Amino acid sequence: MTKETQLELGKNIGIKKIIKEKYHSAMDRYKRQIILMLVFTIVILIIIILTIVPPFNDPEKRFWVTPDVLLDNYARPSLEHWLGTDQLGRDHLTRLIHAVRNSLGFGLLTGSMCTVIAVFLGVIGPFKGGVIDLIASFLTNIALVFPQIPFILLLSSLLQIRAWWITMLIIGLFTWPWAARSIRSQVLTIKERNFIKVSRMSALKDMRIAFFEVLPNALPYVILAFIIFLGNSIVIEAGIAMIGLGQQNSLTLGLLLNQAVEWQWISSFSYWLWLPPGICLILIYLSFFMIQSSLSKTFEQRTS
Amino acid sequence: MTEEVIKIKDLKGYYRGSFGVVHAVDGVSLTVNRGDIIAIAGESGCGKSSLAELITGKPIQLLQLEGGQVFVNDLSMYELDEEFIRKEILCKVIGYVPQSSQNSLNPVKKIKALILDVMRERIGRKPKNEPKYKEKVLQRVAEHFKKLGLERFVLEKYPHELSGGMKQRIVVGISTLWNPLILIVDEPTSALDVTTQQRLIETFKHLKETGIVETILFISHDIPVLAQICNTCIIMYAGKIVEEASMDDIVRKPQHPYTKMLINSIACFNPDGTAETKLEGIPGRPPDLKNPPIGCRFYARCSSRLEKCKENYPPFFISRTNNTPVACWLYEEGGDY
Amino acid sequence: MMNLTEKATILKKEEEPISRSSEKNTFQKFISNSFLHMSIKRGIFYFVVFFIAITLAFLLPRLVPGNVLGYIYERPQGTSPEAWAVIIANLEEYLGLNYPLEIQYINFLRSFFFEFDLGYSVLFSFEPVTNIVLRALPYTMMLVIPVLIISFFTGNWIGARTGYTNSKKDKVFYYIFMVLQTAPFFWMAYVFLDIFVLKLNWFPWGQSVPNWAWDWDAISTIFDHFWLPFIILSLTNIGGWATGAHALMTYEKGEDYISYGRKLGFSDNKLRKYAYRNSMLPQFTGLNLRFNGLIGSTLITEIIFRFPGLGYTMYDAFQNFDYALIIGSFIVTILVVVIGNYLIDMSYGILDPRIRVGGKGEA
Ligand SMILES: Nc1ncnc2c1ncn2[C@@H]1O[C@H](COP(=O)(O)OP(=O)(O)O)[C@@H](O)[C@H]1O
Ligand SMILES: [Mg+2]
Repeated sequence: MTKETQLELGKNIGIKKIIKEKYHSAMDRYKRQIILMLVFTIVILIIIILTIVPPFNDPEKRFWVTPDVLLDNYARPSLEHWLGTDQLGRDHLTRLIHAVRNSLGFGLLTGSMCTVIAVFLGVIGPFKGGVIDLIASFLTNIALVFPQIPFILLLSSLLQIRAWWITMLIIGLFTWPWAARSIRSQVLTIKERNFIKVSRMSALKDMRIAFFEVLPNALPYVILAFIIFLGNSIVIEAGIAMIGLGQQNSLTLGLLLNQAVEWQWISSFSYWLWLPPGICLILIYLSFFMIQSSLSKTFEQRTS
Repeated sequence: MTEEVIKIKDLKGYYRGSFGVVHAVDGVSLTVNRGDIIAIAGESGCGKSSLAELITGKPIQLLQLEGGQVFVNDLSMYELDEEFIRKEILCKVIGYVPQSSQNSLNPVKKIKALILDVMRERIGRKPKNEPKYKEKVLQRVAEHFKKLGLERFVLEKYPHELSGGMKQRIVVGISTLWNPLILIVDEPTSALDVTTQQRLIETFKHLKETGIVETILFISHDIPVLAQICNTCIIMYAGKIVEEASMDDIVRKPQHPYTKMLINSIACFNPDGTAETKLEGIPGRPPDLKNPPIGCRFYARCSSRLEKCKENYPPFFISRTNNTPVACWLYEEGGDY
Repeated sequence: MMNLTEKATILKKEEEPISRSSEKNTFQKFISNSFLHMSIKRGIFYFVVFFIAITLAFLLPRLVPGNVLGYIYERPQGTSPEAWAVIIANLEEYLGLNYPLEIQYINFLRSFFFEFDLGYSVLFSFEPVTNIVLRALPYTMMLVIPVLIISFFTGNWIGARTGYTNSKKDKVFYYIFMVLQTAPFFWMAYVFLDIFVLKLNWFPWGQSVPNWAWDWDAISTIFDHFWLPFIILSLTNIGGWATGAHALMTYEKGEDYISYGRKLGFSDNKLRKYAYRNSMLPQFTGLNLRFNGLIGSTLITEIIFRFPGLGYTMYDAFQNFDYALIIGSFIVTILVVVIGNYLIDMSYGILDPRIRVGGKGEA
């Protein structure tokens, strides 16, 4: 028996062993991440269900103003009004739930918009190549160092129209770059894998390959980006709405907070009015953050 | 006459974590005498690295000491002060070459800086009134490295600028700077290509010949490699030792059913390339160390198992052929199986 | 034979220092060259970014739907018609509305780059915008720079420490900061405002903050106003760094060189230092993005606390339809961002030799 073949054999066993060890420890960490992810997904689901099912989403109560505003405004939390009433005597809980629903919807739309931009710029570059690639990555690199919030402040102060879709456009246009970049690098690695090369040879159209062969493989990253965008856009909207630069047509968490400032809920000791919107905001953002971080950890372990 | 460098008595070390309790080392006793080159062989996952981890100081993190004792130079290791172990035992008595020497060097330090750090940590700050202390130290290190076939320029490099075999030899070099009484080497060859492996084995032989280290505990799953340098071999299975014999006996006259299968599973080829014996893998998988069987741990895979193997763990019996200990009921009446 | 080998060794000995020193020289040259190369490349990149930003700042007011000037032509109460005529004249001159767009653009660029002229402010009785903005700049910087430095080091320290020791007591700290990170800072700002200013009366609020001057009264009043925004920004930023450092550290402490160091008899202190240093390096790459985010949150915090930095100036100008001032403070904000990013890139290049030699790629 020759030494070389024995040694070769030994080497193979060694490699297998290394793979096995990694697998072992990865499984252990998987479990924790998946549990975390489930817990926070359930939190989000509960929030969504609460905003949809009838008893909490009562349109009659929502804008219900008592005949005598002066008697019923700023009522403390009671059995009748769980979170008290605001300056016009409206039930705060109904308004809060309505705001949460609108905020989530807003996040969904804005998040989708950012994701679409990021995916488009991230995928088109590597596949079209040449000038288009250069332009796409240059755009991304520039947008990456562009300070978003000053721009949002500038635009919000220049635009005199206050509509939710303007806020959405503003946020959507400025928050996509990092995702475009990470999707781009993912696509680049996936593109080099063999099966893509095969389908290139079989003369499928480039963009067809890009969107039907490569994108499904980069899907984990797209999902991650979407979740991050979702949480971020809800918070950014709330921020610019709170300081009075955001939309003022539909009731979101931001607008509630804005009213907290305008009506001086904070300084007038009506904690039941300004505390809940903030806590909702934290809860929603924290949930998305945790889902995202545990997802990304499991992905990382799967791919490494 | 013979001097015991390391003596292990009924050592137990378990991993405890959210995954449960892994009985990685479960009652191991062995003695290493001065001048021995001992091999510890066994499938991957049988607890070899964990054993090494337990010998080289108080275990940390998940691996926990569950019982037993380790004597190093007649000192009971686990009763020693941590500071004493750090300064007097490690490197001076026990040198350790870890399983993954490839990644064992700090990536942002030059080899030179790393070695100076080691010196500072072990000896203390440099003496004030000694000029050119650093140069002297490095000169000494360079001389030492030369014996291992390393040029001086490696000191000026970052780890990522060096090849795998080179890093491995640097790790061996650093571990043997203080001429330890015993060198524990964990799977040194598994990540290397064939020629580099061969050179590394030569390096170990050279270390022994020049007397830098006299005693080596060589851990590997790779019996052909072990056969080239070791004179005694210990076979481990699922956290326990099943057989101990001289290397020749293990290869030529294996006693324990597991050892037999292990030796049979090594491919043998004629020089012309045709297979001489068919490759026989060991059927089944090793037992789950989270809840090991009460009886013989090899029971499920053994082809010559007895009734009582299922319920009782076999003590060591002396096999008549080799006159060596074997943990198997087949040898109960000094019988020869 | 003996002679030959001896000669060979002597030759080698003579050669060695020479070759080493020459190697070092070329190496050093290489480093400095590529460092220069990198600084020029990054400089051009950031200049392009800045150029695009000011172009947008020029175009946006002229392109947004709705007549921007319509608001300006409504005379605010309390302004005499004569003064108002001057204002309009000034504005028309600033906006150069009589000229075609290209000429306006060239004028705009020329006056900015050669005279650093940003027009006149309506709000501050026709003071040059440049003066107002330069007055506001130190307030923003005195928030941004200390917050960036303190949150970077504290956050990394907390994250790395909890990641390394994994002890229960440290964990509590870590989770507190993690939740603080996810809390929206603008809401927190109002909560703090409520508790510390309105209830406990610890800090002043709403009075005007004096200009920077080297006298005790001014400085102490400024700092009275400074603490609350500073604390809010630091608290919410530390969390971000801590979570990053924690993840990096849990990864780093399991690295093989740490366990090998233990077997070599390293003290725990030294190993921790190794791990700290190595896990902190990747954090520097995140500094750019965080800096940009910090600028944004500083602007908003200034608005909330009425701290007269760039953000508040911009907001004030916005409420008074003072377009020259809005755009002026915007441009200076961008300038701060671009210069800050450039400096961060350069310092990272100095810190990590691997980047310097290998080149950081784009962005
Ligand atoms: N960090 C760990 N956590 C849990 N189990 C471990 C860990 N490291 C090793 N093990 C388990 O301990 C057993 C022995 O491992 P090890 O000593 O590395 O084996 P070997 O070196 O012989 O391949 C294996 O079953 C392995 O799965
Ligand atoms: Mg091992």
